[in-house]
Amino acid sequence: MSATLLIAFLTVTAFVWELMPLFKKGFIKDAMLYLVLLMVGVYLSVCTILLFDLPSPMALLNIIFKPLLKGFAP
Amino acid sequence: MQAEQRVSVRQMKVLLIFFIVGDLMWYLPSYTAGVADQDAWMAALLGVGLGIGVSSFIYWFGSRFPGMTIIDIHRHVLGKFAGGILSLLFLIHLMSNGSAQIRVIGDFMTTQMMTETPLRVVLFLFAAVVLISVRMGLTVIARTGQVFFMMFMLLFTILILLLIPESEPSKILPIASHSAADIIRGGLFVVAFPYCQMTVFLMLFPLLEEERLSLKQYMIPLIIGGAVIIIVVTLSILVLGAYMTQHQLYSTYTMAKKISIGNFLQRLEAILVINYLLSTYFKCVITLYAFCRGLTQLFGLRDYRVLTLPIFLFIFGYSYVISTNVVFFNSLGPAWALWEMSNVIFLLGFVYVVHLLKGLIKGKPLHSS
Amino acid sequence: MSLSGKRLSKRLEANVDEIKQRLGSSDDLIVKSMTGLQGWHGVLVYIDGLTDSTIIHHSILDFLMSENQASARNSVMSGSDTLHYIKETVLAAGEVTIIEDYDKLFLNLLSGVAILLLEDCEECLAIAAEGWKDRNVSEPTSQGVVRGPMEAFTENIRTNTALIRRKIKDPQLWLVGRSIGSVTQTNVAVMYLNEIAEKSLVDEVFRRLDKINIDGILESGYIEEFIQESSYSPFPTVYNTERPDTIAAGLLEGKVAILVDGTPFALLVPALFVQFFQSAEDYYQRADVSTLLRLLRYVSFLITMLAPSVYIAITTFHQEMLPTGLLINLAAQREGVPFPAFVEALLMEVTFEILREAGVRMPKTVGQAVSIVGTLVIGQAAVDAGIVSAVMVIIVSITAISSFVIPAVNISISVRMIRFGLMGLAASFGLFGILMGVILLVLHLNTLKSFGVPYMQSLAPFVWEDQKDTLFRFSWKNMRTRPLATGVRNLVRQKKATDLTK
Repeated sequence: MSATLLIAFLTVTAFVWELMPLFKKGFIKDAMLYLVLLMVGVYLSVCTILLFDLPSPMALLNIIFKPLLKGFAP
Repeated sequence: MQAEQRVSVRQMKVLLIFFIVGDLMWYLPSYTAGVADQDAWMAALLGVGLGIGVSSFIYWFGSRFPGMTIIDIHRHVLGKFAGGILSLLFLIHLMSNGSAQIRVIGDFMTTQMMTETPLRVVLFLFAAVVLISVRMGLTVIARTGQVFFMMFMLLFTILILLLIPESEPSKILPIASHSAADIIRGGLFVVAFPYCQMTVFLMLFPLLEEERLSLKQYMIPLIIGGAVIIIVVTLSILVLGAYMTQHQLYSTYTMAKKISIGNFLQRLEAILVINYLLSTYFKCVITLYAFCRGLTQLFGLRDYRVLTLPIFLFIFGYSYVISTNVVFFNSLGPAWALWEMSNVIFLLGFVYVVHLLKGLIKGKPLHSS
Repeated sequence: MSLSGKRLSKRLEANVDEIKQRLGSSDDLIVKSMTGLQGWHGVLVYIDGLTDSTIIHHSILDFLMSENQASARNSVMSGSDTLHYIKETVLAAGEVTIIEDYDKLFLNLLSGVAILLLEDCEECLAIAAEGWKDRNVSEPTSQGVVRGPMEAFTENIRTNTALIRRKIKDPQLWLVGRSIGSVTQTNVAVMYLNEIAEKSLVDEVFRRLDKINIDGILESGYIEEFIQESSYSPFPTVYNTERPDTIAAGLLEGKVAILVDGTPFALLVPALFVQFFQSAEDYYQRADVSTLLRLLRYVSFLITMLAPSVYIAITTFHQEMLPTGLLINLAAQREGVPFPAFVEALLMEVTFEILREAGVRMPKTVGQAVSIVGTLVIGQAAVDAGIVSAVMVIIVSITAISSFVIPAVNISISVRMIRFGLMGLAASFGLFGILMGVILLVLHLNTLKSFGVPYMQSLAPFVWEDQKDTLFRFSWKNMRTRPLATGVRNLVRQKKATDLTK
């Protein structure tokens, strides 16, 4: 519970202190990227805090390199 | 802001050494011993030799395009769209590496030293410190590296000296009982892990204070790093033996546990953990700094510092998502090594071939006229 | 409270009335009127207590009165000419200047200068007659040494500048004065060696000093706060000292000294981290002893910062690090203690801070007894009562004693604050937390600058030549160059190694 509050606090701080000035100064591209990263970041952080397991993208590695792995791995 | 981030050659060398030593001590002995058993030391030798060659290629590639970071190079050679795709792959690679390094620390702390601490807490703290460092800029990071460098080298030397009495030369026999293929496979791990990751520095070389890092200055940290690798792997075999090295999760930690001076000063591994933590910290900071700079450069943003806070949340979450447990994470090792090596081939070699071809095609009209 | 440049009037009465009115007819304002044989009227005005009555009587009044009697002049001169005549010929005093407006008049009058006003003259004479009681040159209270000069600055700025001049007899030692503080008009002097100090540094110092806009400067600490880099760091970026030899050594390295009237503590800029661990005595004792002592200081710094945190971390998280015998002892001692290690450490540290502050404020007679016995009794009593363990008392004592080893007091104050932060981190995250805290601390130190010089200069960026004076102290034969941070203009100190064996 307190951890979620911490993440919420960080998000709000990020929003107010960094995002607003970016918008005001007119750096729309910066602000958009910031927003996207923030959203994804908050989502992942909340998943972490709540111990909610997402499928790992690293499993792709095993799939992509499958033919080579046969000769390589112990 | 951007103009302040200059480092001197000496600082760059310190950063290079920290980067190469980085997180190799966690798992490199296990992987090499896993393939080559007690000949892991030969695999390490071979790997270091090949790795220095690969890193020299990386350096040489960077010197073909002076003053340009790898993002610039991609854009220049392949155009905005294809270059952007490759750069994005590069950035994803950096991000995954950074998160993996944080995860390694987290796993280690929660499985070996502070078993009751939840993983997310350790990840949060470490990621916070790393991202704060990134925000402060490369000059500060480099200076911090210089401050800690002496202590790091001192502690490492003490570790080696204290472990030599614990070693048993019989554990290394029989020598060369494995086929060359096995040893090469082991060596490829060494090539992949510290040396192919040097692509990170292609983001950072333009930030040098003086114009260029000469090849000789670049080689010294590589050789020192390589020496560290060989020493660590060989000691691991000598002290623990091939079987233990293969099957222990963190073999250097296990090795450090065996230190005992005069039968009362034992269990000094916590002090050596400080060494490992420091080197992994620097590697992580350098990787994530390159990531932030790369991201701002790819999208043409103004300043990279604003992005540190959302990237912190992102990396924190991602380092947890990256794998559900320690076992899965360690099983990713071989695939990850292949990913590292394919990066060098595709992001660098392929790009250079295209560059050559472009040069040839452009050269033709000149010749024909 | 300027008087907007009002000028003196020709009429004597008006001037004297103006002075009396401005000062509210203060009792210590002495107005002595005189009449000369040639009929000129004059008034001597001075503040009793700020002036030396011997000078007033013998150097000024004596000559003025005897001029009246000797009176070799035959013609009648105008007021202004009389003034100049008196200035050039009559007075036996040293510093005599001519003043035309009230601002300067009051500034001088309140600094102990006697003002001579004449009838029919728009100017007046300011005659230096300062002489007040101040403290003798005595031993320094804070940075004592075993071997070396035992004189310290006093509150009088002229005495202080003289003490420095006695150490450096080079004409390139320049002294530029400023009056800072609109009400106090405190005399501030900036001293530097013109051929060694960097011009940009000197300009920067003056730029910052001129920006100060406050009513009063009572101590050099006010100036220190104004001119330091604006950061919220606990670490000081300006060095202060009572000793003239430290200031002289700093000037020789290319630093700039700022002296403030009214306080014996002078400032030295730029101040780097390694400087706070250097003591004047290092250079007077043998090189090897000094090197060891300096290393001891660095170790003490680490102890005072990390001891309570490491204790908390080990007893809470990493009990396996202790040898078994010690572990059993510790466990036995901590058996009856109701608090976790963190609360125990916090209690003892806060108690010790209270004792330390109380010891400073107490009257001298009672102070010694209270602080020593108090610590012992409170510590022992607390252990017997079972509130804290004996090990905790030992740790706190070692921490406190180590903090006194550091020569510069302002760094140990910063360390006190940081210690609590590290204790909190240790209690939550063990050694990992301490390491993260130390990393953050080092990162912070590396972002600091003191007047444009990186704070950790000589350690990071690492300069090989300067290593002779940071962690170690090489012998004087080897101290051939000045530190790179401030002495770039004039790097070589010794031309050639003096070799006695040849």
